[in-house]
Amino acid sequence: MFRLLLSYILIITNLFAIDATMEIIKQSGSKPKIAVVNSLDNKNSDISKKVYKALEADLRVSGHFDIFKDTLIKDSFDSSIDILNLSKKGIDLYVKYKTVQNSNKSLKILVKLFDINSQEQIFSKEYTTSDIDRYPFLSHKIAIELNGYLKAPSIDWMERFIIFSRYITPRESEIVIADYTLAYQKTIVRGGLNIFPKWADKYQNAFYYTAYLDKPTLVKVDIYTGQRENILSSEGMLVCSDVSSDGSKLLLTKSPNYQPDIYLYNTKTKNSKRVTSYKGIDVSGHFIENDSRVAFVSDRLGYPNIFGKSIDSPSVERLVYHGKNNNSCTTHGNYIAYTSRDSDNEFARNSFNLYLISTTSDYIRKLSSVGVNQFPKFSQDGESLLFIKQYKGESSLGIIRIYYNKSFLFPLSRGKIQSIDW
Amino acid sequence: MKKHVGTISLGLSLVLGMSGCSQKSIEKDLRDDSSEVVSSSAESKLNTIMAPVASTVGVMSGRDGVNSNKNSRISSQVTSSDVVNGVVLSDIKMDDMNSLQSVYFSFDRFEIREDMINRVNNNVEIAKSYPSSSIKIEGNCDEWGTDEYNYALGLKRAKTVRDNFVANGVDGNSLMLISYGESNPVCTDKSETCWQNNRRVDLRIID
Repeated sequence: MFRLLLSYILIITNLFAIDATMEIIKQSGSKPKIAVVNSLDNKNSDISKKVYKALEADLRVSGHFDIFKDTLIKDSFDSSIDILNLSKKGIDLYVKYKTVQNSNKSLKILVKLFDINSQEQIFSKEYTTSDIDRYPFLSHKIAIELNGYLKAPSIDWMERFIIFSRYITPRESEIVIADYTLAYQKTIVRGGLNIFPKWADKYQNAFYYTAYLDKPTLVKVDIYTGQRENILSSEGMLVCSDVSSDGSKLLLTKSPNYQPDIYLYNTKTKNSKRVTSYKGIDVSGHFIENDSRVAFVSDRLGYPNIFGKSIDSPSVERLVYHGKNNNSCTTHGNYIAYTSRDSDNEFARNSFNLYLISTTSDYIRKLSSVGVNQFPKFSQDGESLLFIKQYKGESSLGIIRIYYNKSFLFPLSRGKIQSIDW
Repeated sequence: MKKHVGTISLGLSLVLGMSGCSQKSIEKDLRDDSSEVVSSSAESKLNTIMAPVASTVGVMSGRDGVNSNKNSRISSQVTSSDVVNGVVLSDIKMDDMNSLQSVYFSFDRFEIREDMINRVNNNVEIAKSYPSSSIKIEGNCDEWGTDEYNYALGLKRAKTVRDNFVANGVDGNSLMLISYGESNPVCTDKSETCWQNNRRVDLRIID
């Protein structure tokens, strides 16, 4: 039986109960200690070092492992392992891998996992790709399977594509598909101003984006066939802010009379229904509460703040009572994460920080402290938050593991991230 | 598990028997020649992602204030002597007085400021002198705030200028609006001056 010292103390009260709050009380106990070994067969090749770095990062980001740091462990892939010695070092899981590169740019990673406590080999697997540049995805897959052996909370999101746009020069941006660490990037739209990419469904087979043609135009692209479809255009501006869980409805910000408001667009009937009607600014609509209501950003109080309304009712309620400039939001179930401008403080001037609230309680939690943190996006399972951070001249993609109080940053080497989705 | 424990026990007893009570590391041979091939499903999909496509660039777009339509007049920048709210604006030379001037805005606002009224009025008169031309009104923002909000704010700024033009007799059908949010900065310094220069509406006469 697997002797894990995995014990988390997570007290999560049922959020559907009245006055329920979500609270991370404490994380205590120890996580399984895992040793990852770049086997001697790899001869410390560049790719083997990259794989090591990627896999170690994935395990750390998962929050489910304690990485054993001992570069003195030398081991060949096919040799037997010293169980007693590893056990003395307190290692619970032992992973070694071998990389095999071919001249045609393909890569194979052979991996063996050993459970030191039960003294058995758990698996021996091969992970392959036809393009060595995609090694990060193999690393993510390996991490997901190691995580699966622990039966720890899923980290399947690591395998998902990130799609983002980045400004290159004034009025020029390109759209890129990447892994969550940005170690792999593939540009898929370039030329002109192309902004606000948004996955069209949970399968990530297609995405929407706004192309600046003769008017801002919402375009849908199938990433495998390359088929493009112009959905609709609008004078002034046009953004797809959110997609319903079944992909059939979109929340758009458009401006038919140069007045930005939120519209519900039915992809099947091709009809639009106006959701907000206000003379100022209403943007960033997101579905909440089983797609029956919308959370959005509005300046109807004189400054940007987060409001909610039913799609079929005109009444609007304020959702956030904190902050003086709350200008973007994302939703998952009853939770809303938003960006709020914090006043000058001892950390920085004019910082924009991320906050998390529940629509069914008074819960509020601050998720960041410095820099300009914007454009939060929940993962599909709601346990992680993707965001953009601008700090000290650098543009980064950030991941917050909400339940583990951990935040990770992945810098962009070129350009400035305009918007992201995953 | 029991098999492995049994192997360990046997090995241990053999070692101890041969060496008295000396202790040695126990190595386990857990080689397993059969390995399972796993492909990353997400990664393999990348094989068939299409090649980059170029968005069609419309005739209205341009870069760095230069419109691709050679007959357009670019809105002028402000002279170095202009100081607005204590901020010295860009020192790019002003073109002749027949050029439309950019209109500047306060942080997170889209109302015409008092110090911009004369400029807007001047723009109205220039627009009226080109009755058969169209005018493109482009709203822009500084880098603060999330981009979607900034595209809307840029549009509101452009609309405010448009509404002013229409109220003063310019044909609304000749006015085209677009927002560039924070995508079209004229500078990238981290300074009040630069941020002010980016909070603006540009106007272009399109023949």
